[in-house]
Amino acid sequence: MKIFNIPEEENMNPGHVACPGCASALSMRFALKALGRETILVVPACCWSVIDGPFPYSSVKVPLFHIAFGTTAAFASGIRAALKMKNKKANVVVWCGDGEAFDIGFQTLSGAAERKEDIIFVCYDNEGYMNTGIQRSSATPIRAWTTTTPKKYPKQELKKDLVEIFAAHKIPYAATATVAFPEDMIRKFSRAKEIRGLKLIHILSPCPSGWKFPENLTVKISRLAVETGIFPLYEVEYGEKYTVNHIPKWLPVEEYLKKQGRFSHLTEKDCQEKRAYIEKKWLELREKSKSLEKIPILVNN
Amino acid sequence: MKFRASELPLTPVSLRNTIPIRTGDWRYVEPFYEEKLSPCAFACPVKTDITSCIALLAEERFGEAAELWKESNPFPGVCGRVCPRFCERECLRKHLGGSIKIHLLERFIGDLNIYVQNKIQRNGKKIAIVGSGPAGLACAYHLSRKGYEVTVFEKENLLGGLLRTIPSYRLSQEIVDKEIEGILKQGMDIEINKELGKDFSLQELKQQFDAICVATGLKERKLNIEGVKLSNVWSGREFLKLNKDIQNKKVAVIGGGDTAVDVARVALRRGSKVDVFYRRRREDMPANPYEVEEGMEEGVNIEYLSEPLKIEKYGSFLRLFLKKKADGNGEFFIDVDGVVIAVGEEGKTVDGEMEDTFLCGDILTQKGTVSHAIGSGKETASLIHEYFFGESTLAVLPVVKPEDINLDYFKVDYPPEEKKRDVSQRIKDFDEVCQGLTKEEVIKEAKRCFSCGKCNGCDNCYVFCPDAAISKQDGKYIIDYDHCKGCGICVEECPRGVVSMRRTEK
Amino acid sequence: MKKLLTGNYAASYGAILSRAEVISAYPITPQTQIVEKLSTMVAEGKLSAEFINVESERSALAVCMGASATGVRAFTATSAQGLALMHELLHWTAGARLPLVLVNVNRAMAPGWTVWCDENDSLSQRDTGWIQIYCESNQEVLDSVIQAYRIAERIMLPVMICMDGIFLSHTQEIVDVPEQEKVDRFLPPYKPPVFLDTSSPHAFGSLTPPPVYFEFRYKLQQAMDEAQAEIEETGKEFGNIFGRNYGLLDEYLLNGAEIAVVALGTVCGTCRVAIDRLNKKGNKIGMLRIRTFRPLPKKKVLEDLRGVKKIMVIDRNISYGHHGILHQEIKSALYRELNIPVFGFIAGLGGRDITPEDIEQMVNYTLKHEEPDTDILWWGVNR
Repeated sequence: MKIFNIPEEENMNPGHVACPGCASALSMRFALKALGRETILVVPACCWSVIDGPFPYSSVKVPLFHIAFGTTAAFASGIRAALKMKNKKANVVVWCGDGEAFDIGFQTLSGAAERKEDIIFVCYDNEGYMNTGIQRSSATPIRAWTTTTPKKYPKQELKKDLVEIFAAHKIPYAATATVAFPEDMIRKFSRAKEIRGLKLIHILSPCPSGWKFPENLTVKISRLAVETGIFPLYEVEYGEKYTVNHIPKWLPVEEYLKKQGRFSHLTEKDCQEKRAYIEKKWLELREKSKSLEKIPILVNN
Repeated sequence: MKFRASELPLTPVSLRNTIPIRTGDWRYVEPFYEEKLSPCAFACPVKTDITSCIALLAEERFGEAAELWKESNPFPGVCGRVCPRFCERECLRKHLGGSIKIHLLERFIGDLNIYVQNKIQRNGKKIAIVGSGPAGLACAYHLSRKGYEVTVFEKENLLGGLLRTIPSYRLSQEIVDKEIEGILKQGMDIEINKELGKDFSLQELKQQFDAICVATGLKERKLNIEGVKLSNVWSGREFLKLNKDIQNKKVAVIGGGDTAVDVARVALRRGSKVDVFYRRRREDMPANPYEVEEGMEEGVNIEYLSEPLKIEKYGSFLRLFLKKKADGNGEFFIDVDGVVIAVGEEGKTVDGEMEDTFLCGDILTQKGTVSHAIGSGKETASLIHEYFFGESTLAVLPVVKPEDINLDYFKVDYPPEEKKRDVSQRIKDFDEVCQGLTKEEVIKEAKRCFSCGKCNGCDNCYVFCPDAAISKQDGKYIIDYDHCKGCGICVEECPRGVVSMRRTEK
Repeated sequence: MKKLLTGNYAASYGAILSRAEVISAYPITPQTQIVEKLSTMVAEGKLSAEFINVESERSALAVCMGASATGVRAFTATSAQGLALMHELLHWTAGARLPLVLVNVNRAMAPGWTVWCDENDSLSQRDTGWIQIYCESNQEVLDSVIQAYRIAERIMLPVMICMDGIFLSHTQEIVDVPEQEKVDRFLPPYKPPVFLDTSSPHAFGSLTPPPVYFEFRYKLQQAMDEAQAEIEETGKEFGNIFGRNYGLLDEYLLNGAEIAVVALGTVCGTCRVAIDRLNKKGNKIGMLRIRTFRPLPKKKVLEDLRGVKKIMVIDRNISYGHHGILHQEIKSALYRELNIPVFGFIAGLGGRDITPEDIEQMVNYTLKHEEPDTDILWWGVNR
């Protein structure tokens, strides 16, 4: 009795060199199942510049171009323009970490969004520069430990809200996804395929080595992020139409935090603060999503 | 890796896929598929593969479910009604809406009346089975299915032993008939009205048979107090065999086991007022708690901590003297028309025991439930088989622990309401109190089952493998150990504890 | 057809005639007119191409790289700060062997802010693996863009066409604009052997560990070596079709010259005037214009300089802490082959005029000295 129905087509080979339990590898597997072989990937410096395999190998069954940090959305725009000139069709997909999406490639992404480039921009967000060994990014959550935000002085700033930023660009489609909800993720990729213009898919990608949790818990952590309300699963069309895809079980936020070493120093006050942020985000989401009017937000329970 | 510049492309352009990269070498632990015994099956005295049967029910494959059930237990109709449900106590669904109503599913399976075929070649070994209670018949059933030539000896003129004393409001005798018929269809000889020690001896049997199984059950325990020989003082079994109306009488029952409760409820249906006196507390009562509850609903009064002292005849009635255990000086009496003594059973000795004589059922286990008797019958059949052929058919599987279950995959979901006839109606006759489930209810209830330790093809291991190292072949999952990195997500995300972890041999 | 064109328009016509299919650029003075011209041509349907208005030079080059990697001809243009911003991708383009063409309008680097010419911007990109061609006239700019695609696509290396800002970019000259038909004959459509193609999927530029990285760099240098012959051949072929010959170098009155002036860019035009004046007075001065700076045609340079007594290098650029960039290049070319004194002048930084009189005086200095007084001869700096 299947719990999740996912396409059988496998467009990623085993033998890729992701760490055990890597959510970004799993995300790629799901994404390519939805996107199919008529896809071109653009990958900047990020874990995936290693994961796909060293020369002469490649794990994915689609073309993939490794390109410099901060250029993916532009490079992808060039591919799209070239395909247009050649009168060919393919999904042009940027596949990057939060370093590219939130930080170094942010401007390029904004430019591509403004130009309505017909690309799918995927950020697998592991909330830090993991490939270089766990440094803070602007996607690192507040109070988290990284090697550049030590426990004595953990990160003091809030994570950027990427989807909202690009909703404000009025892109045709922005969505969040995470590996514990494979059907949801696959549906979002399938949907993004059918929409013209820039599509942003923000994947929360739990990282066992960077977040300090056992590698068998990747999917569990991903699920907890959603069920505690920390990572809402939703879609935004043209910056206006909000659809929340999953109402959390409102599990205590501690269940998510306490499983991760990067939050092991958190106090009750910090947890309270997290709850307040979650509540605020959901109040905003409820405000924007008409379908959510009657949904109780039970973060403090 | 060594390349000449002349062999290389202009720029690093991949030349092959990553399959040659053996990421499996990184691993120090690895997952493997290991079906386990569900806690229900482990608790089941018959060790029926409950989860597999329920999975078939959920898929509406009722016939297959029944056949599989009967591979283990030929009495689902009986057990579904009278078993104290050891399985349900251990069901891991308990805290997420309530245990699966396994007894109702079993009852449904029983009521399908599906006879399983026995096409096995006879192996030439002749076995005598003494006693046709649930243990003897279960043993006969399994032996016959293993190819033995079985003869069952029964002292009464009707097969079934104690099954024949269970009141029909609990267990309709038609069901017993049908299930025994199913057992007989496996092929066996029956000798009725043949009592061990009277009509034949074990020595005689030994000359005709290769092995003997004794399943003659227990005898009723006697109560050594004054007045037990008075008329209108019966043993439990005697009372249950009486078939007369005792309208508007008062009956006292001494005991706290199933027989005591049966007696009380039968007496009630025969129009009497009933008081049960039990020497310990309610939680100590060996009787099936569901029966106790139903009896109380019907108006059976139970006095706990009451120890009988003596019975005296007072004119047309009997006076039963008792002592309350709680207070030291609590002697009291009650005047009744009849007293039934149902204080349990005790073992009996079997004369002429020898090698190749196997004991089976209550005489061996003294557990006293039909299910234990059936389980013992099955086990003895296996032992006999092992005795002759050296093959143990009792598999040892690890049992699913609560932490093996991933509760994230299960929502709170409640079982169907159990349908019982209204008290005012049911005490007027001997028709069954409890009703079974409809087909739709069975499917729905079966779908609530976690299927602990039994893969039901949920695909989670395949879905969540970040290394694409699990594939599906012919309905089975195959782990590609050349590439599995041993992350353990498949173990964690298996909802039902089928995938286990072991150290990788290097 | 002859037209009066600025260097920027000449570059634009070069791209148009080469049938660039994807164009992306970010405006920067003095390159802006290229962006304007090409975007207008695309918008008016006069050029069948995708023009992408990006948000930075880095993105402009990234767009072109993406297009080139997908197998179409791409064009971009920039200047100074923009080129510096592209720096990382310049390496990437060459390393990925993407044959795109970039026109750099030479402009001095800030701070302070300047829009005037020197060549420090492109010369400091000499080690990125790009072929660099420096032009002297607007005609050469146009012709070189067309030649650049042919060279690039045969060698699979990117080509940077450099022209001095303001002096060429904003100065109108008469330019013979070739006919499209002829250009098409000269420049066949771009058909790369491997590109981003879903029917033949490959990963490009993946992790390259020490056992192979080295070999890829060896191959890049090999390509640079091969490029010399290709540039020469392409220049000759161009001459056959269009009547204007081009080579790796451009020699002026070098035969029998005693002093060779070595320079690149528009200062060479000024040199020609000064040399003519000087030689009328009986001097034997010649000039070697370095048209192809990368690859540096060392053997040709040696051949050309063999026989002169002194070499003057005029650098409109400087490698801080050493000396003029061309100066060191020429010196290194001479190593153990020709023992001739090299006079290294640095002049005209940040767009300051280098007049024919300046050149004459530089020559006079050289005539008077056996050896230069200092390693760097700062020309015209107010100390």
